Amino acid sequence: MNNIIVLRLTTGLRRILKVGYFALLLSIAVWSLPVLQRTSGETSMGQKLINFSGPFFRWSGLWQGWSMFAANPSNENLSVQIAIEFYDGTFEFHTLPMLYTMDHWQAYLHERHRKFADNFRRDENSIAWPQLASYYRRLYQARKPVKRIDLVRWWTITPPANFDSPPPQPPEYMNFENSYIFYSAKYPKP
Amino acid sequence: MSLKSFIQKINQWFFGEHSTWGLSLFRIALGFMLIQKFVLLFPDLKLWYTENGVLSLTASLRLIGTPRLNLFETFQNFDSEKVAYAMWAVALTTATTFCLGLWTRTSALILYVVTVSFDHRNSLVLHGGDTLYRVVLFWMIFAKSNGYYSLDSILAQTKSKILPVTASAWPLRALQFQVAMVYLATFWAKSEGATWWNGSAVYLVSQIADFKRFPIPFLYSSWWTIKVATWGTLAFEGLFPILIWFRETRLWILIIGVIFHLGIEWHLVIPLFQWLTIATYCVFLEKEDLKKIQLLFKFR
Repeated sequence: MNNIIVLRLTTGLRRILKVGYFALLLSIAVWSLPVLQRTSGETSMGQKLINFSGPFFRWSGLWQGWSMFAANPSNENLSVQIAIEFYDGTFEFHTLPMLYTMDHWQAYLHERHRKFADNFRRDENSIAWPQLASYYRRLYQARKPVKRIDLVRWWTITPPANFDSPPPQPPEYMNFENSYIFYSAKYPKP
Repeated sequence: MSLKSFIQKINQWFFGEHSTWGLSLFRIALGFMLIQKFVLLFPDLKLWYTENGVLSLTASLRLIGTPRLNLFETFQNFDSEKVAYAMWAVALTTATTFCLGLWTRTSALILYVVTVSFDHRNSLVLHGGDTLYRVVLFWMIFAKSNGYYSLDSILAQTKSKILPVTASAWPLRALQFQVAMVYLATFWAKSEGATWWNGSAVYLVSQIADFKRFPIPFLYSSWWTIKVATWGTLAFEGLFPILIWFRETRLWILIIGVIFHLGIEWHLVIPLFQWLTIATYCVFLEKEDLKKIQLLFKFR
């Protein structure tokens, strides 16, 4: 009798686990395919599944998105510059590493710097802006008191394809045409 | 076909016994890639992951939202540099034991927790490869990947035991599903972009100076070569999640995929991601495929 009960419990547990397994696979599909999440008026089934699985996916690290070079590749070349003004009237300028200025191996090693610059300058990550300014202030403060730090976006736009003329070759160097101070911090004199 | 037999076939495909050879190969490749990831991370450990770096723990938690699996948060009352270096040492050690197939499941679990913690600590430096590491490593916790080429199997033999070389297929099927979903998702996302349909997307990528690596001869000599490259990318990514499931086309799409990703690795600076994607192809391989590949090269 006990064996029958154990067998039934085990079978029941196996079935529950299988249902959970397929639910997980379905959630992966919905997380990967944003089209399944889109809503029009009422909340879609995909969105409901995202809301249900979201806490676990976000906590566990299973969150995912696969939109590399999508919907269209970026048409921007960008750079982030840190402009530092000191109380003695001098200035220093730093630029977050630009891979095209490095040899191939150095570029390989510094790819996360490119990623940092690309993500950091976005408005949705503005929480991080004072952090970078503070980092550079700490680098210099002991030696030269920092008066002000500006974070500057430099960028240039790639023109759309013109099929009536030969395609441009990949650029050897960049000439950034546009700039914008997206964050500024002033510090008191010590 | 009756409903009952259909359900039985699905059950057998997902949960029946399957060789762990492909999983063992993938364990070695994934472990090796993770060792490289953490070695490359070492020079910038203080910059990205400590309170003296560019992003404090408080700011990083506000950026990514909580709750998240994050050992940096668990150990926030300790010196952040010591925590970062200790976590890195654990990551490198478990990546090595995982690659060698020593205490494989435990290594996979600890490695997963540490890898996710690093990703959640600083989300501003993440790229697609980091996402792929996480989602495939998760399933390796449950997979029996020490049946072949592992120290666990050698140690078992010294105790006159043999580790099983087959196991229930469900972690393998999940990995296969995940990899296919990556291609389907990226194809679908690209298909919503006008530049992929008009053939100019590869031109736009080529104009991003930071991606530039080694040249591919004649690729940018005319708009037609650029269009072929663009449409070829779309076609490959769209066909992969379909053709990978059929015995007749599986090996061919994998070979095309290897060539495709090696081309990207040559031409663009996207470290490790192409090699990791090629490594995931191991989960689709059967032992019989080795003979087919040998025949292919003999024929040539």
